[in-house]
Amino acid sequence: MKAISDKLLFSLTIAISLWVVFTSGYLLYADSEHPGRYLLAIAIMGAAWTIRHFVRRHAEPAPTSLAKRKLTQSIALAGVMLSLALVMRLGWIDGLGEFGVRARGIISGAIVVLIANAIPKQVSSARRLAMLRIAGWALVIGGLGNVLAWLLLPLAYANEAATLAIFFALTYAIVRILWLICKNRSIPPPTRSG
Amino acid sequence: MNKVFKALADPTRRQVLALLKDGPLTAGELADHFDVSKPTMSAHFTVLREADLIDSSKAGKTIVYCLKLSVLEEALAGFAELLGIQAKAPLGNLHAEATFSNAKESDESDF
Repeated sequence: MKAISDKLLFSLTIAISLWVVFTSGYLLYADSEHPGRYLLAIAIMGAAWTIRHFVRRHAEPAPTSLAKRKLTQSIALAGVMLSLALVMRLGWIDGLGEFGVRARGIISGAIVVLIANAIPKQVSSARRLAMLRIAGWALVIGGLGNVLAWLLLPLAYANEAATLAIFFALTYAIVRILWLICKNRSIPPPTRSG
Repeated sequence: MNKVFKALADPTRRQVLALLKDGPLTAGELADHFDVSKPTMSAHFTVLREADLIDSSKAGKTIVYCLKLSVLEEALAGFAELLGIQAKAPLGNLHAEATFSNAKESDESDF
């Protein structure tokens, strides 16, 4: 299921990656006290594109396009997340006052929802699928809670409430998965007949 | 997304997804739960596969299906089930589609 074409995705990813590299380079020059974080951002982009290039050269023809597309999507997502951090570092959001702070929280929550939504969409065994579904649902609800907290609550409580929403979601997911593992250990694996 | 809505609009396909929540099943095991012909069932599987809601893998002569639902897709399926949404297209069309599909791929049977 392709929402956007491969060419458009590739162009967007190139643009995002260039933005991350050049902004990191600028911040590395402007804020020389913390060079590590900006060098790390550049290194992540470099490593990701190197891996993508390696896959293109050594994979079989049929799965290559799918693997390449997945890698490009991952690079784009990593680029968006790094961009968000860089924009905050540049101080553009802080200049927007309360709206900027809320926007930052809402975007962070939306990223959690976006990633958690795709967690159960993996081919796996029944036991693993049950765990992935628990993790996916818990984090989507936690992420939505985070977004709603930033959207609706007074700014004085929004940060604590948003963090609590993610914390409770993570705790619930971990406890349920551990309970499921313990339950599965006590039950022998089903035997298939026919 | 259109394919996902189309796939989730049919109660039989939603029931297939519900059965797969408990783990991967073969085409035959899934078909046993429904009172429809095998070509019709095959067509349902094709629609679900095209919408990327299930994944199929060959195990010997049988095809094993497993669930591939995102949280949003599962929520949509739940809402569709709750509201009792049904596809407008008659089942006859689906059967004709299945017969055509089977004629084209006679060597690739699901069962």
